[in-house]
Amino acid sequence: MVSLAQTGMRTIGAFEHLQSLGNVWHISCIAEAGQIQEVTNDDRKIADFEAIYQYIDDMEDTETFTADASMKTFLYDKDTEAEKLAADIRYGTAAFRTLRVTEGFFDAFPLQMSIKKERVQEIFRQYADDDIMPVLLGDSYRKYYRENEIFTDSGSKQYRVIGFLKKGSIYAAPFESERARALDRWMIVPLGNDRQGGGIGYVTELTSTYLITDREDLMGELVREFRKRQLMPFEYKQLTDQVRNDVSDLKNEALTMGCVMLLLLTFATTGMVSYMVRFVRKRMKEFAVHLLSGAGIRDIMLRIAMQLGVILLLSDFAVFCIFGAGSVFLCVLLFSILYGVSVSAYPLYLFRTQEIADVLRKNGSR
Amino acid sequence: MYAIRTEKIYRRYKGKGFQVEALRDVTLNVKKGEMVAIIGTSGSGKTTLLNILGLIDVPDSGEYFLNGIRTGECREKELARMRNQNLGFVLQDFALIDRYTAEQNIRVPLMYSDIPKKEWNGRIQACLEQMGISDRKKRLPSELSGGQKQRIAIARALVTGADIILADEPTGALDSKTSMDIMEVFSGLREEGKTILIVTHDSSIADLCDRLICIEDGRLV
Repeated sequence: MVSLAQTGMRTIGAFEHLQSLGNVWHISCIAEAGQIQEVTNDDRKIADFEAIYQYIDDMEDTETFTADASMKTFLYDKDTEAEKLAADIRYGTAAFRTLRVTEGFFDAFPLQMSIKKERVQEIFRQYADDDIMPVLLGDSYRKYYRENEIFTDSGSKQYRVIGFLKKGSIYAAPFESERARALDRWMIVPLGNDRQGGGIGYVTELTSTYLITDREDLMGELVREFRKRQLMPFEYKQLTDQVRNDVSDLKNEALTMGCVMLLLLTFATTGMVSYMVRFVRKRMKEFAVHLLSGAGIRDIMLRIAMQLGVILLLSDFAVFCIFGAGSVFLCVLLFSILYGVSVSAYPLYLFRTQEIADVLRKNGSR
Repeated sequence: MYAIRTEKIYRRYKGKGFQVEALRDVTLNVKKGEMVAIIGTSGSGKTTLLNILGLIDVPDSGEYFLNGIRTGECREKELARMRNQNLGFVLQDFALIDRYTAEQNIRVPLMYSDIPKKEWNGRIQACLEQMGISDRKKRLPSELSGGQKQRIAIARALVTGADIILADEPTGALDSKTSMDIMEVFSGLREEGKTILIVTHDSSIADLCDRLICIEDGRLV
């Protein structure tokens, strides 16, 4: 529950940050398949695509970023670490889900990393296609790689780990079906200039590009630029409303989820309290015998609290095994202590207000 | 020195619209090694007196000295320690824990004592043998007769070496022959120097004690 809440908060945070930057625009290709194929297979159009890229880079009053999530990077088959990784991520093969980004991505999404943002942007900017590719890895890969370690993919391309993302990192992808991506099991690499797949690579990247500007006229000019260069038709779409709706939807989802959780918690608490009350009532004579035999009130109260404590400790241990000793575990631990105290309060009060003599009398010992 | 000494103990119970004076100015002295019967009709206050003597109830006024210690000055923790080390309880319905075996029932007071764990089994075995029920130690209370249950209860009262036994109608749930057997056990304990207080309304049981204290409407008479 805590983990879900944290993820929800981070997702809302990512969307809200994107919303705060200004109007977000997306360009999409509206050509038919045949036309796309014709243009992308035409090597003479490469220069036009390059020019479009340059045009977008030079647009005034506009921030851009590209985040292309369409690729996977397969690791070298004989790599032992890759085998472990494959077993761990259950893909059957060791593949990183790969997010290819431009430097602007890190301005749009303030991700927490083991390396400074400006340094990442500098490294990404300086990356040339023949270099070892710098890579930022999701938190789940910390156990397989160290910073500055170099690994090789199945195409013999080398990667150098420049840092790791903080656990639970998320970025908002308003135009994609997943809407928000948790990056724990992703790698982020620079987009570079080596377009994968030739002309179609340009189309993929262009449709993964987001523009942030308050000037709609610039978007119109961009579309005209496509037309001028006789590339396939593109249209632009403002995502601001969609982002706003996404934030609203996410908040509603969080509220609904919160209500459901609260309801579940209420049922669970009612069940727990009645179980504890039944436990205390059923064992009242036993407790009285222990008190007669020299137990203190505290000894018995501890016995009662332990009844619930064991269940809560087991659940805390399960959380520790799943999430490790992080903030989730700490939140769950604190919550379970508070929950334990509040659930035990009435049963303990019930016991505390009983006199040993009364208990023995009620239970037929007198 | 008295094992038990009370001075003008007063205990009153209040309820909605009623008030009962259960004990009024009860002054009582019991010497060490004495076996005393407290006799009285139902509602006379004898159980209330035993509860106060057993440190499970507190008088509204008056003083109670247990082995010379002023109990009114003691904290809950000290009272619990005295219940464990100085007092043993034997009750009419035996007050055994149904899900524990005889041996486990006897072990209960040891759990709260300072006696080292390695001595527990020896003590339990000695008490079981003293009560003549060592062959029943693995039995649950439901598998034992009334007399055997009461012997288990007495063994539990003795296991930490308590020098005072407080018995509330110890033969109330037993037939006359078994009652006499249990009284023989108490007599034997008195011979060993234990102080025994028996609350009863059965005069034949009271006659077997060294001294008889009558209680009526909360006063000793």
